[in-house]
Amino acid sequence: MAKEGGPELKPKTLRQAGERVWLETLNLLAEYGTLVVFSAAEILAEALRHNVQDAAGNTAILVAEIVTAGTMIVPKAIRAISDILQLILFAGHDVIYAARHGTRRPSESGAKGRQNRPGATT
Amino acid sequence: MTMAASFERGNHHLAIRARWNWRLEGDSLKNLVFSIVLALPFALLWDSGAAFAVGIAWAVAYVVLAAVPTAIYVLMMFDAGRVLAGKTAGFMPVFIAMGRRGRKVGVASRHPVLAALAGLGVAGNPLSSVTRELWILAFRFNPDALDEMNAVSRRMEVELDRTGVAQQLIAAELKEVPRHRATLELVTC
Repeated sequence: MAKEGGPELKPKTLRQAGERVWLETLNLLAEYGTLVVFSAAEILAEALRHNVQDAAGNTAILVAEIVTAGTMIVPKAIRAISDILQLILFAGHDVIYAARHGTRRPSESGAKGRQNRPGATT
Repeated sequence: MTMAASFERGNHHLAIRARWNWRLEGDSLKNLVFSIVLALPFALLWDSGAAFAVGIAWAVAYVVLAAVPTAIYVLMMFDAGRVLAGKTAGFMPVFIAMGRRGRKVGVASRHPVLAALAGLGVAGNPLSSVTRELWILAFRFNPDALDEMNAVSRRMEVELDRTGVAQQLIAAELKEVPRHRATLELVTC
């Protein structure tokens, strides 16, 4: 697996890289998978509702649709907007840092990294 | 740091995040199921006769069941907006302190049926998931607010303990607040 001039990738590192792909997928599914699934369910329910003649049955589907939108779709949309905003702010922060200092902004994790996030007060 | 060590550290963090994300998904699904079960009888209002009467009775019961949790969720959302705008949370520290005390000292003479109804009112409130997401958004853009809120609630808890007010004022709904806060802390890390 050794690439000429590059670092040698050991089996353990490869396994960990595979594990990372799996974990990232799990996180993505948890954060956005349900948004996609429930949005599709909402469209299907709306199509179904127009074929139901009974007033109470029609309203029951409408109530379920409203509750689903309130508990699953709107919250997930807020998370998605939050992710996009965070991405834009971080990228913007990086660009401003690079323009001011002429170097790339150092990446920091943990408490110090949190302090350096856009919006942090300390 | 070697590449393997770097991967190991990152993967560990991702695994924690995935676990808590899925736990939050479970909470959202539970919220969806309970909310639909509680809201579906409203459809009876579009029927006639006895079904309509049952619908009216259900609407009254729903208002009673949802009034207190809805008020708490609205205040929590208002606070999330304040934290997002970089201001200090006003109600959350009080809720956390009272909830924490409630968990420690317990609430005297709670009727099992009323306690179950109160729990249903919290779990089946459609505002639950929205409130949580607003807090995640607020903590992401104001990470210091978490420590600040925690410190204020600790001080309030001591004060509530000293005055003995906690036992009289704690509503069953508030006991749920610290649990949700702990989850938020882990997801926004």
